Amino acid sequence: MNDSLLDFSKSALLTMGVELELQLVESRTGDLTRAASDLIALVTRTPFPGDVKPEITESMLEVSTAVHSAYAPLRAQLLAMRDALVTGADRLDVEVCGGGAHPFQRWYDRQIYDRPRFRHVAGLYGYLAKQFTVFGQHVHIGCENGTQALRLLHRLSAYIPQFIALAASSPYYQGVDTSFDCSRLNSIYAFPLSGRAPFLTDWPAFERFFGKLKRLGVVESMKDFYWDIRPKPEYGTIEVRVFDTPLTVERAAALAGYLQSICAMLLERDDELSEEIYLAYNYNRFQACRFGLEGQVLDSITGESTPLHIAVLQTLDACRPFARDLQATDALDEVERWIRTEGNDARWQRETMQSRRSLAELVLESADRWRGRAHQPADGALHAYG
Amino acid sequence: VARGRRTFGGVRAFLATNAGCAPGAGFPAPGASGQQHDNKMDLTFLPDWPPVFPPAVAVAALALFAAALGEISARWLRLPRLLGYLAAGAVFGAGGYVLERLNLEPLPLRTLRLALDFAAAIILFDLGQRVSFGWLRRNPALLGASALEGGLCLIAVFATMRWLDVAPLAAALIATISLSTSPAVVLAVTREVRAQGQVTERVLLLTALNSIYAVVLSTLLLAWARLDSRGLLDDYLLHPAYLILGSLVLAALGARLFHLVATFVHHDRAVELVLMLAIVTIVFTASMALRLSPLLALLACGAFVRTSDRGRRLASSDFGLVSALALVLFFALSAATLDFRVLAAAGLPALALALVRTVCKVSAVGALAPLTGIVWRKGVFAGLGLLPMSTIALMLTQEVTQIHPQLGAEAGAVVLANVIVFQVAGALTLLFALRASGEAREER
Repeated sequence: MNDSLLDFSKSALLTMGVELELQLVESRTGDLTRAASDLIALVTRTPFPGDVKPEITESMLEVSTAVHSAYAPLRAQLLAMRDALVTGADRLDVEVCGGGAHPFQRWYDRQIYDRPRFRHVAGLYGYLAKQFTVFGQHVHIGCENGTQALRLLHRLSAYIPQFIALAASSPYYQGVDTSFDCSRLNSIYAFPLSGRAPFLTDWPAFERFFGKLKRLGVVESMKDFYWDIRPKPEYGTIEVRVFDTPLTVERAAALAGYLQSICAMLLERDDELSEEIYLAYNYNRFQACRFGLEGQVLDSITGESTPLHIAVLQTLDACRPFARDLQATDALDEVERWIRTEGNDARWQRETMQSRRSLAELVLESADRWRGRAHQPADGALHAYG
Repeated sequence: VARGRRTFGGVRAFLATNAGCAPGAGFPAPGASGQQHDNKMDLTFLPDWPPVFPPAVAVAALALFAAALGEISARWLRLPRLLGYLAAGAVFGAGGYVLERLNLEPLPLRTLRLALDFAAAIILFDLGQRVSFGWLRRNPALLGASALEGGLCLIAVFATMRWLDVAPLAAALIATISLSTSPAVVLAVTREVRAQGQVTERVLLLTALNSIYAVVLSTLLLAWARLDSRGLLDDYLLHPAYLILGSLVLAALGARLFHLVATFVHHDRAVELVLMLAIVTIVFTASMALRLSPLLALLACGAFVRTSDRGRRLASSDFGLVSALALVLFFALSAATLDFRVLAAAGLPALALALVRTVCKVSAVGALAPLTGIVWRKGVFAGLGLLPMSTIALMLTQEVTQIHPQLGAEAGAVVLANVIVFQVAGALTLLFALRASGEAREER
């Protein structure tokens, strides 16, 4: 039994890093394809502007940024990684694509990437592991110590519905309109250690909790928890995992900037935490997954019900002063523009589907969007804001 | 032709006698009652015995037999189904023995050839659709690698044939035909194991490209052969220009027509299949009527259909079913028409061709792989995948024989021996390559 595994490394406060799980699809049919190892081998021939690793299947890829303290360089690195991936993918005639789930892939067709941990996961979870070909964005926020991290984690839980609704991009799954904006989290919910983290507010208590589970053999490492937010002691961060991978890196960057600003705001607060905040947690989470920005969230303390798009606008107003200090104002402007004009990616996907009427075409259009082709005018709009 | 057929007046006589013996017993057959009053029965409504079937039924019987042998090949031997189809065709073809046992008339060679060509037409169109000009533009090294592979193969085979005292024109023709990879084998095997990945995509692309080279070069070569015999410069320029440009124009028109109609039938699977079959038939028959190259026209038509698919209508279309049907027929019929005696007569040039072609394809594609974005090991697998020979080689040899019988006979023996060997061996190396690169997705 080694509790020292859970030593919380100190990070610079509010630094951030982004991980994106990406889809690799056939340029002809839009179906998921096997290309991860070839694409990784190709893009790492020259120094890759970030980190790229295989994920559980050959049609999945994970890229991650360095640690950043500001939004602009984070966005720049994400754009550089995207361009490197697109250039490599072009040479292999495959498409890279965002989105929280592939709209029509059949999970039983997927092959598990050949690595011991993935084989272990596949063996343990069976069909769940293959059904798990869903694609998320994980954002790490640096904390100075474990207790601070846990307290931030619980405060942040009130904003989880906003994050789900803003990033939602998995309305189509297994060939049908799921009627959810974010269907991805339903797949993750099937895992035994998913949902919210237990209400523990200081690090030693968390270490005891982890130690017990480890002694029982329930978990081996922090990797076995699929919580919405989980502490990552070896990095000295908390990791928000509810975002679907957006259809563009610009959105991924803006979401990280928004999260960073909210964290800055929450760290200022020092009120007492109570488990009451979780009373409506699952209800709110469902509302966000199902209805996206149209969902209603309940404040379990005041009993007030607010539509999510209003809640986002209120939060934007509240955290603008903190964003200014962090130089994340552009990110907030971008998020505000989604609310006021185009909505989330799930809405774009449904609108595209209405005009194209084919999931294959939807995937290929999404791949164009990932390249930044369809996103050009939006870029201009962003500059107009700044 | 009416081998062993007895015109069964005998049966009729027998029946009539019997009826006479037992008046009133009658026959259940309707329409016979009118005749029962007179003691003499008119049984002309009955068929001759045994009944005469139109030759087409032999194709159906062959297809059934092929399906059964294909299943045996896949389930018990874990080998591609096409080996079963070939075996079925070979048994059918061997002296018409099976036909005789089933009392079927052997197919007239012309009908057989036409069915074979039509099946090949569908296959070529299907392969053409897998050619992405966009990919070649984004990764020009692929085109370079393909040209180098083709050039090396061409030169090495030609030199070897000359060294073995094959006549220059025949040597050039053999070299040209040996450039090509069989679209039928490649499509059949990759589809069957649901292969997916770089080796698969490259084998498909390079197959389409080297098929185009082979068709264009052999066209030029034939024109040269005619120049040789007649000495008219017009032939040298006009005939190939007509063949190549004409085929491309026909292909473009076919593709245009396809998209024109496809716009109306957005996403109806069945209609899309009908549309595809119609376009293939039109391009195929028109190219024959206009004496163009059906090979080039259909490959190009498939490629144009995909390239001009701006609205991405094809993304969700799948012509696999029609293609699969064509593949069964193609393999069974091609084996039925092949004369296996060429194997015995093949000799040294055929053996040399097999060796040189294999070495060239595997080494060139393998060595150039890193330039095109994959590791050389996968390039070697792609090279192994390019070994199958059949469709293009068969059709080209046939085309040559029609235009230039003597040349066809000279080159044909060497090429056909290789077709017989590499239809099977090439399917196996391709299967090996797909399995070894982890791109085959077979159910265990």
